[in-house]
Amino acid sequence: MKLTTTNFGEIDIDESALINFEEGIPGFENVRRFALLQDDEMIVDWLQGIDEDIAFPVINPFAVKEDYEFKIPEGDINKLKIDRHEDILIYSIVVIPEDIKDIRTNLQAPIIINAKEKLGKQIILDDRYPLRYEFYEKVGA
Amino acid sequence: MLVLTRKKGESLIIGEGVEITIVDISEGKVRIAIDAPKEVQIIRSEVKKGIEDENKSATSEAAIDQLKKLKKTSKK
Repeated sequence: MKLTTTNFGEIDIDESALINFEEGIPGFENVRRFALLQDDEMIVDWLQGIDEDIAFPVINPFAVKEDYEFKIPEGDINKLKIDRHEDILIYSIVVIPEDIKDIRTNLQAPIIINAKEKLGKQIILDDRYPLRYEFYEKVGA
Repeated sequence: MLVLTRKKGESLIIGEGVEITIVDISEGKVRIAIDAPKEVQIIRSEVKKGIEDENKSATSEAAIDQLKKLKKTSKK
């Protein structure tokens, strides 16, 4: 299917690869289907909404916080139908402000995707990791 | 919205398996104990609100031109 987006213009999307966020994403509960756009030129990938033209920049959190670790809550394991850890993709949402030195990511609420079932959810962890984790020094030119 | 009054030591039940007990009340604060099945997640409202606001910033502020200045090497 063809999709017209603000950030990427008109793009071709493989409908069979769409990821279903059955509860939406907090703040965007009405957007249930997303395409994962992998971008070779940027440090982030993108979760592009299908039902609404929104795009979340996302990053591999382990690339910016090497000792990041958490347990996926049991309720989320059930909702995402996870039975093998090889099926899981983990991302965290990035905020890219005009002053790029303030680039940050949300380690308190990572995105978990079960690639096999095409299910995704932004899960909420305890307070151990920050909502706003700045990581410019890890990627700055 | 249902509003009801409870005293210290009293409790209430929500749905199946969630019980909330008032443990202590002092100086404008209430301590509550929550008994719930482990698949029921309990989150402070302000944490959820913070995540919603941060998500809105992520979709509205994406300065893609700025992003291109950053190193690609650290991605994976």
